[in-house]
Amino acid sequence: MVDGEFISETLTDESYFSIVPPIIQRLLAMQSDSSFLVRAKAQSVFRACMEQMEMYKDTSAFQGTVRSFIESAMEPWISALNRNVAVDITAFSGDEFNAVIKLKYATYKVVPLGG
Amino acid sequence: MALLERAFQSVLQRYLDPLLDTTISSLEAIYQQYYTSLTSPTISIPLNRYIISLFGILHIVLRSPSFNSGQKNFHRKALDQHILFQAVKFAQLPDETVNLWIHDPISIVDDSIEATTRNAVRTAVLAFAIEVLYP
Repeated sequence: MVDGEFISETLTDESYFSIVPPIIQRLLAMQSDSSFLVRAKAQSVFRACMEQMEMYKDTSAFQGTVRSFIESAMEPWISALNRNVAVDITAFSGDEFNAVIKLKYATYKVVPLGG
Repeated sequence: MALLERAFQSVLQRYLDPLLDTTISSLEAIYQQYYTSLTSPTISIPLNRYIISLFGILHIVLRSPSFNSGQKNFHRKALDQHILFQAVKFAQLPDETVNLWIHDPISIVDDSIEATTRNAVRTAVLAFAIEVLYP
């Protein structure tokens, strides 16, 4: 339901900040998913959410909201990114090996300085 | 992404050590597999991409302001040596490429897709080394 609202054309600036934080929380929870592909895709969505938030950073109405939200969201995300980097790829083979590679590549791309 | 970069950098300072440890450990763990791939007739693009990603993450961590201090302690100098060692290991060429270059020097300028793909890790590692080790 939240996803549907997020992509709806009726999304407004006000509703954006009530919708995105729960999505990002859910994406963060997905970083504990047993599927590496799920984690990788969740990271891509996380980056897209952050890129959208960048549009609001200079607006007087949302500047404080954006800053406080991003600062609170970063710490658990970096911790999750570190856990993803720490996955021992040598313990996997075949499809799982490739999935771990996608996860690590997504981890690299989601880091703001890595895109 | 300036906002995200600033927020990321401020938090990253508290995660530099674990990120460094995990990234370098991952490079060490995968090296044997990469070395074996150098003699393989087929190129493992996913493996190359994985190693390039690790060097990318390493680059991001090392680009952090706290790593750019001119006053480096013993630990940091040892870390520099360790990173240099990793870069040298991963920048090596397959023996067949070295032999080819010795016997046919003009082949060095081979810019075919196959040659570019085969040397993707080396190219990324050299770019990393130029920026990080010789800023």
